[in-house]
Amino acid sequence: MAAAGFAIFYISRMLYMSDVSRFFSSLEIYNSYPFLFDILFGFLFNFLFDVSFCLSAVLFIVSGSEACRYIARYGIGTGVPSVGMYSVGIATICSVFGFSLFDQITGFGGFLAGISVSLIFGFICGKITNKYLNLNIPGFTYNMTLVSVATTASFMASGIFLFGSFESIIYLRGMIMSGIAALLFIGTAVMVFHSYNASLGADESHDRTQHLAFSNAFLWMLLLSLISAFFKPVSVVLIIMFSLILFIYSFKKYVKCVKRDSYVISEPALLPTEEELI
Amino acid sequence: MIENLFDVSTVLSVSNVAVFLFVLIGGVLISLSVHFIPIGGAPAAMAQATGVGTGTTQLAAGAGLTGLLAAGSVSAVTNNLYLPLFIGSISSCLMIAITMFSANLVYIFGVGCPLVSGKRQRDVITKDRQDVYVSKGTEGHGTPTASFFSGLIGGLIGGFGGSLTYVSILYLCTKTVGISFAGSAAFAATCSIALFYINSVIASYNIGGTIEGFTDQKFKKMPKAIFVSSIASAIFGIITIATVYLFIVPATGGIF
Amino acid sequence: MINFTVLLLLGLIAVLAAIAGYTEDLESVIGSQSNPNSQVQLAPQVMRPHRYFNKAISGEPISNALTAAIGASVAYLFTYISFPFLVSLVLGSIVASLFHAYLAFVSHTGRIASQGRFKQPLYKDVIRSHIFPIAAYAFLTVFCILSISYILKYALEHPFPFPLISLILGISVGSIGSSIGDVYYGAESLYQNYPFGAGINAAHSGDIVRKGASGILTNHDHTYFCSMFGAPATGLAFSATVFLTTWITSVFNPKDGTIYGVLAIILGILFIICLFVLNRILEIYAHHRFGPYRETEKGDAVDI
Repeated sequence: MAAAGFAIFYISRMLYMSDVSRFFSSLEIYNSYPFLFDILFGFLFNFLFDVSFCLSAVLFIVSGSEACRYIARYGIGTGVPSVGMYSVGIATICSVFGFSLFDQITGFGGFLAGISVSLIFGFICGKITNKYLNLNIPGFTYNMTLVSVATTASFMASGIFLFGSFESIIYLRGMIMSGIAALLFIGTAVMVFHSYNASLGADESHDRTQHLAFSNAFLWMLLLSLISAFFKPVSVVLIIMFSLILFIYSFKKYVKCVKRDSYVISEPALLPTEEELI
Repeated sequence: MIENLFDVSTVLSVSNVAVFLFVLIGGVLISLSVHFIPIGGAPAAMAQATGVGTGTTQLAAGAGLTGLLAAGSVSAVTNNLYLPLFIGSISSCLMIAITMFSANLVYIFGVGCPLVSGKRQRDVITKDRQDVYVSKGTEGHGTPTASFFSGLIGGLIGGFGGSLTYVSILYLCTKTVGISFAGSAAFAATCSIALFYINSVIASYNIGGTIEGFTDQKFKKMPKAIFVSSIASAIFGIITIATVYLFIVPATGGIF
Repeated sequence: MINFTVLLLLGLIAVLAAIAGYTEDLESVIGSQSNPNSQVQLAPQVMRPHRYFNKAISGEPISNALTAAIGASVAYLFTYISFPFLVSLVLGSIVASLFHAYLAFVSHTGRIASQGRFKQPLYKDVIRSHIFPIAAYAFLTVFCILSISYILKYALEHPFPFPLISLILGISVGSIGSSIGDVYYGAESLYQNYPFGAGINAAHSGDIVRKGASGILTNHDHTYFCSMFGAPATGLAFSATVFLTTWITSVFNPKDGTIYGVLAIILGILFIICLFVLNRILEIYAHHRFGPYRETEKGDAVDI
C-alpha cells in the first residue's frame, strides 16, 4: 500500500513537471483559444496534483493504521493511542526536516529525505524500545518503523496538499509560524491510531477496521481541503467534491460492516433477558 | 549554507554542541519525570489503584505543556535565560499539585475512601499505618502524602525538561542564527511538544500503566528508560539542529 | 506595576476555564470516554448488556486537543481574512464539534459491533439521543478553549501561535478532566449499586449499575449525577491551573526586572507548599472520618 502511494506520488510529480503542458500549447487549436486552454489545464493539473497528494496521504494513513493495529493487538499496557503519539513525535521533526530541503534539493528529494530520516529514526527507536524495555513483541521493530514512515509520509503529503507548494518559506510561515503544524500534528496521530482503537473488542474484524481507516482519512482530507481553500482557491471545489464522494462511499461501506458484525440492531427496546444471554 | 554544514568548525561550534546537550538532557529529564508522577491508569478511576486516574503519557504531557506555555510567555518579556526554565518548572508542578489535590477531594467526598497505598505497610514520609485502610480487592486509592511528594518532584523535573528544550532551541534560533522572535518561538515550541511525546511514551512503555512514585518497585526499572530516551533525544537533537541551519537560515536569510 | 486591565482579563480567563472544565467533564461522561470506558467495555463480557454510549475516540487529552486544534485552525484562518473574531471562533467551534460527533459515532458503533459474541445490541435510539449532546458539549468546550487562547494570544501577547496554544490547553483540560471528573463517574456513578465508602473490588469489575428508579439507565442520568460534584470539581481545577499559572507572572511581571520573576517563583512555591499541607490535612481527616476498612459494613451489591 505504501508502494502504491509512492507510485501515485511519483507519476503525478512527473506529470506535473513534464512537458505535457508544453506539448498541448504547441497544438494549433491552443493558439486559437489560449485563454480557455489555460483555464482548463490549470484546473486539470491543479486537480491532478491535489488528487495525487490526497490519495497518497490517505494510503499512508491506512498503511500506518494497519501497522498500529499489529502492534496494539499484543497489548502494550498503555493503550493504542501511545503508538500514534510516539510515531507522530518522530514524524513531526522528520517532516520539518524534509520541508527544509525543498529549497536545497527538489521537492520530491525533500519528501524522500524526510522519509529516509524517519526510517532510520523509527528503526532505532523501535529496536531499542523493544530490546531494552522488555516489550518482546515479535515484529515490533518492523512495524514501528512502518508506523513512523507512514506517519511522516502522511504528515508531509497532508502539508503539501494543504499548501500546494514546494517552497520552504511557505511551510515556515504558513505552517510553523501560523501554527497549522499543531493541527497536522494531532490530526495525523489521531487518524493513524483511531481506526483500531474504535473497533477494539473480541469480534474486531480486519475489513471493518480498514474501511474505518479509509473513512477517517477521507474525512481528514475533506477537512484539509476546506482549510486549503484559504491558501490556493483555484481548483478547490473539485477536490472537495472528490474527497466528499470518496468519504461517503467508504463511510457507507463501514456502516454495512457494522450492520453485518453487530449482534442485533434494535430500535428502543429492553435489555436482553437472562435466558437470551446464555 | 549547505556547504557550511560540511565545515567542521561550524558544526562543532560551542552553541551547537551546547544546544545538542541541552536537548539531550531535556529529553532525559522528561522521561525521568514520568516515573515520579503517581499514575493509577484506568483502575484508579474505579478507586482500585493508588495514583491519579489517567494515562501515564497524558498527565505528564498535560503538566509539562502547561509549564511550556508559562515558559513561553516569560521568554517573550525577558532576556534572562534562567527565569523561563524555573517558571515553567513551577507552573508544571502547580498543575500537578492542583490536579492531585482536586482528585483527592473527589476520592474523599465523592467516593468516600481514605487516601492509602496498599503496597507498603507504612507511608514513607508520614509513617502512618496504611494497610488497614485499603478496601478489599484493591491496591489502594487516592494519592497519599508520599506519592503526592513524588508527583511534585515529577512536575518540577518534567516542566524543567520541557522548558530547557524550548529555551535552548529558542536561543539557537534567535541569538546564534539571528531569526526573529515569533518564528523561533513557534519552531521551538513545536519541537518541544514532539520531544515531549516521544519521551513520555518511552517512559510509559517502561512502567507499563501504573506507578506510585519513587516508592514503587517499578521505579527501579528507570535506568533502562533513561538509556532509551537519551538515544532517541540525541537523534532528535541532531535533526533539530540540522533543520535550523538547513531550513530557517536559507529560507529567510535570518530576517523573518 | 499591577495592570488592572490584565487582572480583569485574567478573571475572564478563569471564568471561561471553569466553564470549559465543566462541559469537558460532562462531555466525557455522556459518552463514557477515557478510563471508565473500560468498565462499560467490560460489562457485556460479564453478562451485563447495557444501554450506555461507548465512545472510545482516545483518551480525553488527545481528543480534546484534536477538537481544539481543528477549531483554532479554522478560526485563525477566518480571522486572517478579517472576519469578526467572535464569528470566527463560533465557526471554528462548529467545524470541530461536527468532526468530534463523527468520531464519537464511529467509535460507538465500532466498539459495540466488536462485542457481537456477548450479545450486546446496538440501540439506534441511544445513538440518536446521545450524539447531539456530545456535539453540543464539545462545542461549548472548544469555544471556551478558543476564547482563552484568543485572549492569551492577542491581549496578553503570548509568543506561541494561536492553534498551538489551543492544542496545549486542550491537552491540559483533557488530562485534568480525566484525572478528576472520571473518578466520580467511574467509582461512584457507575457503581451506585455498591455501598458508599469503599473502592471498587477488582472482582466486581464490569458489574455496573444498569437499572434506575424507573427504567433502564442511560448516560443522561449519569450526566445529571456527575453535574453535581465531579464536573464542578474539574472546572474549578482547570480554572485554578490556568489562572494561577498566568497570575503569578502577571502580578510579578518579569518584564519589570529579574527580581519580580524570582518573586513569582517564590509565590508559586508558596502555593505548592499550601497545597501539600492541605493535602496532608485532608488525608488525616479522611483517616479519622472513615476509619479502617471493615468488611461487615461495606458488603456486597444491592440488587435493584
